[in-house]
Amino acid sequence: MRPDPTQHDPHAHLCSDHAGEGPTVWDLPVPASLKREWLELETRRHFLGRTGKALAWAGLASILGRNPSTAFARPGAPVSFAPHFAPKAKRAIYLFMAGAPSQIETWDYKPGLTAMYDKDLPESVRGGQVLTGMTSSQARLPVAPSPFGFTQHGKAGHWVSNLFPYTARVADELTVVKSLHTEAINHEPAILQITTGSMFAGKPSIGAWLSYGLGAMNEELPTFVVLTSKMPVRANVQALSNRLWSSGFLSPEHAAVALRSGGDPVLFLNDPEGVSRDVRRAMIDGVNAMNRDLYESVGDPEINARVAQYEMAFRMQASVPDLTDLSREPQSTWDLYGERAKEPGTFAYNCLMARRMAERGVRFTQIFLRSWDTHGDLPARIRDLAKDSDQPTYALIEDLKRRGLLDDTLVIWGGEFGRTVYSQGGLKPDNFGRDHHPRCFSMWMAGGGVKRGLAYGETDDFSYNIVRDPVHIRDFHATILHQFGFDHNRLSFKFQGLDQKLTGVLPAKVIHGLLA
Amino acid sequence: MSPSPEKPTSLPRAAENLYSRPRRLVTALLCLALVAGLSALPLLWPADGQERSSLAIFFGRLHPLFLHFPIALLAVVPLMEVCALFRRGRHLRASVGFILWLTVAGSLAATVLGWLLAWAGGYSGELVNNHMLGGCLLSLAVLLAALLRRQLVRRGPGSVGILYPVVLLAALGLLVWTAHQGGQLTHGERYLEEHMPNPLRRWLGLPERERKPARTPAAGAAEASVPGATPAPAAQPVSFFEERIMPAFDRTCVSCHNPNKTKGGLRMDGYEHLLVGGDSGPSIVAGDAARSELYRRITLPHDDEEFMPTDGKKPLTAEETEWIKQWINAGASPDAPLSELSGVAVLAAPKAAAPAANAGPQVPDYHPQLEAVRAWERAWGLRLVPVSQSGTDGLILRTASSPSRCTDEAIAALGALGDLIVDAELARSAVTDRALAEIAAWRHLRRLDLTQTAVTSRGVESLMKATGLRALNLTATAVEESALAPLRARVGLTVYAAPELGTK
Repeated sequence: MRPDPTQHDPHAHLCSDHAGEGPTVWDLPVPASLKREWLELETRRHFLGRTGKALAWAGLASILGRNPSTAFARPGAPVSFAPHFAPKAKRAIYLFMAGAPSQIETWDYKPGLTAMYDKDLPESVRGGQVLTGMTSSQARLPVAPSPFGFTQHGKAGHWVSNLFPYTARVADELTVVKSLHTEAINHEPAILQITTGSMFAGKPSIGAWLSYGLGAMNEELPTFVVLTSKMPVRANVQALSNRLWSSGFLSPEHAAVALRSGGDPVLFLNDPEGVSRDVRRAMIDGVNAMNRDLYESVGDPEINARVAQYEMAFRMQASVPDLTDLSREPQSTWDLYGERAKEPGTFAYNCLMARRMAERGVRFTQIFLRSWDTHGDLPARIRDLAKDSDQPTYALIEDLKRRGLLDDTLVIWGGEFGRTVYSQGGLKPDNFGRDHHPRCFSMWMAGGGVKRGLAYGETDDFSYNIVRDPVHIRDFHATILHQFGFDHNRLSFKFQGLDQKLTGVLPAKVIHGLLA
Repeated sequence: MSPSPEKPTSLPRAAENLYSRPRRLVTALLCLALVAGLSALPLLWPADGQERSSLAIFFGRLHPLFLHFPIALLAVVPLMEVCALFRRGRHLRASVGFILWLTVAGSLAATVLGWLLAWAGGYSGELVNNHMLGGCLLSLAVLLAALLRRQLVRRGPGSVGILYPVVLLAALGLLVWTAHQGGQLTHGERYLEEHMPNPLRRWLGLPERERKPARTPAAGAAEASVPGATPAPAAQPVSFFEERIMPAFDRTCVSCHNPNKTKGGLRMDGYEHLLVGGDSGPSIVAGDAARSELYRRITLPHDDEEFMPTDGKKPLTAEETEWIKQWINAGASPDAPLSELSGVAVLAAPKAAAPAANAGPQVPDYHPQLEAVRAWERAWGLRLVPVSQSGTDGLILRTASSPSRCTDEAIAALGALGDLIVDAELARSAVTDRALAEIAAWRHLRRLDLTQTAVTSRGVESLMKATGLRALNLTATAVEESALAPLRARVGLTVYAAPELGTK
């Protein structure tokens, strides 16, 4: 199903942000209502399902005065639009800490907990909340303070965990949000909700919406890229799947291209021996010609998406090797990111790749780092995870900053929910676990027009309930779209009888307090 | 109430008497009930400006459909009566009764639907009340005329005397009065007189029409400079609001937002009413068009339910919308002079005058240049991308797909399009110092990215002319720090330069 431009804003100037020689939407003199009607007629179900409409289609073709399949867009050209208003961010890098990092050890400093060590969590704080099956059978819920100290950093005086000595150096760039909350209590629905806005699989991811709304900055590279990272520790690891970066009901070209963490970044991208680039080009041209014939006869827009994928793959054959060739990086890069950045697939390598993609105009890069799901052995595991990710995270911010890219690059760090203040299982000062906690969790953002050095929202003394400025995931999404120039209520796509939006049907608000 | 058939006069009197007594009673009662009913509707459920159930509004909106039938029918009745006075038109007399009763039915239906529209459709005010009164009186007059005519036919001309033609003429008069008010409700109070020729105006005692209002500052100035031609207002500076905004509202909005028809509780017939606003709160937030309900409504997609003007009325022009935006953003003053505001107007003199508050000078709308934009894109394989859907947010020069195509020649070929560019993404492109001389002259350039290009300290000197620049990125270029000193000293400009970050 192709994005319907008329859904987006029928009076928008349909200015696609894609290069190329073919006609672009600048060229369209066709009224929006006709386009909408035509697109509706063109979808497979309508077209093949009702022969009566086929006649109408032919009629419309004569109204348009040309073949309908060429009247709108060249096959494969993503249809995209200008934002509703001037955006602050051009691109985003989302450091996704899958498994849910504990807010208590990272960004939500609760000094009062030390005195509460091994005391029971007051019933009034829990407020009768139903616990997960993992801790509901526990005889008691003993409070576990963070074994890691916190120190204030920067002019803003952010309290930063001693787990993050590097990130602390750029504390003044960060806006820390301590009051995110969600409904989901288990990983898969929670990750789906924060990446796609819905606990149910099948919705487009944030990056897919941005690709749909904005198009590519660089035609040679995917608009939306996912990088998965090698894990420093392997325990309680949840699988990642392309549900988290799919295009859902949007056209498939808006889905992320996931670069692999080991071996070839993209499988089967290299031409086999004996196949030259010219031969490959000729082959793709041939297949495209057949696909276009098919499109002319059945009008299924999925065919155009397929053509686009072939073209993208062909372009990536040239652009990805250039992207992943780190041999020309100056020494200052390795000083900044550390030597581990030379090893493909590490979090450090991925952060460096994210900066390289930001430079080249990839809109949305999402880096996944897993195994933050610390039900047990939390102190040791979180120390390893922080050690692996702290320096690269700092390096990314610092690198974007010194290259003048941070102003219009939104960097986001966070997981899918929070963790409980009480210990799961036995509690020792240096060994305990924390269960899932959806009522509050912390994230931070930097660049892209958000405030610098701000701490937003507040939780109670147990980091259990939010006491000030709650931010729902929907609000978080609305705020991201706002930074890219979109009114989240107007960036929509008609599917299953609903104007589908990233923020769904429940009310969502842009958190203006976060914005510079 | 069935139309009574024309009875042959030969019917025996006794037989008529036999039936007429109870029938007359029924007729009288029915008429009384109608009178009571019609007067009760607007009295019990007046038009109070509230919107009610959409089903009621739906039926109410059939009012315009129904009302034209009784109008035409009623106009035809006297015509037929007059024709019937002559021998060749006599046969018409047989049909007049039928038509008159049809008029009665039609006007009753139109009246009830009209009340429904007024009650449910958010109308209020004197005009709509008068219109309703007129509609009720008209229905009653037509009913009376029909009854009188029946009497006339039955009892002969002597029975009702001159009453029938008098009532009929009164109904016609009421029709004209009521219909005119209906027209005013729909099209605005000055719909009819707006283009009325002056002799007719004088005759009707209306004020004479002014000359065509000055649409452009140039025209306004020219007019004022003509000696002797109404020099009165020249002494006082003309306010932007009165000269630009109010005429636009008058033409587009006031027909539904006035004291008589106050849709959504909003009046737009005066400055103070705009501030008070309507059911959705104040219509303007001085200084912030983006948060102003009025501006939001007029800039929605035209098929949006909330778009104004609604119901397919002619929308504000792009020019007027722009004026409104500027006027609100400049503080929405009722008496800021025309000259002051039009200085920042896109449409006024193209000379970039004093920059407005903090937004910098407004970029000219890119829409008129689309042809040129496309031609340049095709010629060079590069992109000029709109910052947003708003034409005056400018364009981004985007080269990321193939930066090597962006040469000095490509930049030179932009010509006047350069003034539309606010953001030039030239990282890794082939531009050199030569292009910088051109780029420095682009009047609205705010961000310039020259990362990893061949520009040198000499080229950067020419950027001193680019006074609107906010961010300059010279990462991984050979530009020396000494050449950057004057730029770094400039307030509001951030310079990024780190020669060591280049590739090996």
